[in-house]
Amino acid sequence: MRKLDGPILESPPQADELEVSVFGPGFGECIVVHLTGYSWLVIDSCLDARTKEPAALVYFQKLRVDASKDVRFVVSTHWHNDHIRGIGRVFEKCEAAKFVCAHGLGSKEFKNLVSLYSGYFPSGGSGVEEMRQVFSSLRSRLRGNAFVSPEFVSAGTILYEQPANPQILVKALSPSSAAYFASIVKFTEELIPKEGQRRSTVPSVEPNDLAIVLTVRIAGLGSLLGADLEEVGRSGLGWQAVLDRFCEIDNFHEGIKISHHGSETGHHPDIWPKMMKEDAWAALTPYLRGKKHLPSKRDVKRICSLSSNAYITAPSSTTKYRHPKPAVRKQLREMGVSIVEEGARQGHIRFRRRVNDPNGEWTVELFGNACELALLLQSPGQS
Amino acid sequence: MATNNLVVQSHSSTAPYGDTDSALATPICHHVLLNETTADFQMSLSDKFEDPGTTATYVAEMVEAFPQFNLLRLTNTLRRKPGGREPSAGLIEERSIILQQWDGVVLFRGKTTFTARLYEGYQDFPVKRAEIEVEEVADEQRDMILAGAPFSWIIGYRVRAGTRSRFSEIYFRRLPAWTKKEIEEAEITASKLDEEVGWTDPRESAAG
Repeated sequence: MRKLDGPILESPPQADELEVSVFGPGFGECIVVHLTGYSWLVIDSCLDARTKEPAALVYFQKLRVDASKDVRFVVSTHWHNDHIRGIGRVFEKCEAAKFVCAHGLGSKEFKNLVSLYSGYFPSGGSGVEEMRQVFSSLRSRLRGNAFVSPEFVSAGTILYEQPANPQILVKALSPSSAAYFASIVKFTEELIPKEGQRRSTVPSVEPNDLAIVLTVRIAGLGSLLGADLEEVGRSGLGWQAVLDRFCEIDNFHEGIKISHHGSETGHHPDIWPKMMKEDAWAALTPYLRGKKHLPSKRDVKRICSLSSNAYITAPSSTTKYRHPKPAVRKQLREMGVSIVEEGARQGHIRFRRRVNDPNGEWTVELFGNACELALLLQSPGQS
Repeated sequence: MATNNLVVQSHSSTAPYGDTDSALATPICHHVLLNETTADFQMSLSDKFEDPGTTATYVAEMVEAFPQFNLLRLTNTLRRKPGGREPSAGLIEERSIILQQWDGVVLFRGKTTFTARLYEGYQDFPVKRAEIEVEEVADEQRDMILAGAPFSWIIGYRVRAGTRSRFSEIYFRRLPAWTKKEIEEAEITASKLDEEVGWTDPRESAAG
């Protein structure tokens, strides 16, 4: 792994150069993959703090990539707010792309949910609102475009396969069948409101059973993109299900997008020994979950013990907010209220490697607030 | 049909409130007219007020339907004399200067505080997050501080009888319960989506 000094964000990858870019937090995260041959894959979405546009689209514009033609897939790994912000606009722009989501999102229960909540809460950055926009784009593409239905994936689904020059495989390692049925039960029992029930915003579903983990392998170079899949020790679900089914065939990954912001629940002790190459690169984004900052110092220590090439898109997901009006600041101070902004500090980690060069090595470039993960061990805070 | 003109201060995110800067010390009021020819709110109100009833009924129902509004003045235009002044309903007139207005959603509640996300519209970014003392919410609304509950938070100045004071008002919206009709309509919309988009439930595809 070679860290490039003075990186130039606008320099596009070569045709035979594999790229994995991780953006975040921006209230969530987004991953962009160059599959070589000028075709791209977008996974999840977050907004660029400066332009308030989806980070992927801002990046494509800088690289002069024609998002309307060159993006093959837009993947929504799961519909948590922190992974879906702006995905409606991304899909609208990526006209030639297929929309990929988990099988559970094609269920009538989920469609009922979207219909019930669509437009009900204009505020709140609801994931449902983003999905409504995706539905709208799908509907508009009915005219003369074959890409109408989303690509519903589950563990084992091959999204894309190119046999040679170079050999490319994009495959989903989750969600499992058990996760699909668990999600239907959750939609029905916890999310779809019953008659007479008091209204609220759409509740979040934990853990992220439906999250899509992807393996992207180009000319033998594998990247494991962990989404937010968690491991909470339930049979047939989470990382254990991925390991049980795929660790024999989908292993020796050269890099990983760490699952669930580096949290303890996003980790399984067998992921690294069974699915990763020694000292593979690792990338993650921070998040404020409840009152806990992710990753915690303990999480950072664990990840740094597994990889000496670990990077994070920003040291923290929040920054203190100062209201522009003195009278409001005074009022907040008197009330003892402090406000933080989520996603204001953003960064971008870019890994690249030429696939046709047998002696090639990965390079890493850091932009914005991105830094080496080990630096977080030197700073106070985040316990 | 009688025309009752409720003058309400727009404290709602759905109602236009214009510039909230303190330099514009003019409160923005929103007139809600309940008659056959008024466009504003006519559609939404017609469902709620089938029987116009008395003025008092209007007030009670308005307060129930739009708890986020502060009632300032009540004028019955039928009783207004040509060229005369508006009759007072006996309520003390006050005006508010809004410095900041947020829509909030409760994330979780602790013993003495609750944590919420704050938005100024759907496109608001970066999103703000605050931890607020439960005691900042009126006693009768504290049972509504639940995960997912939406609320409004206004900080501003209130001018009343020549005096000005700073205020913070957190108001939880007492939203109507889901109805059977809404749930059934959502099912129909979801089915239409299947037909229009050709998007079928994976279980049906597998069966077919």
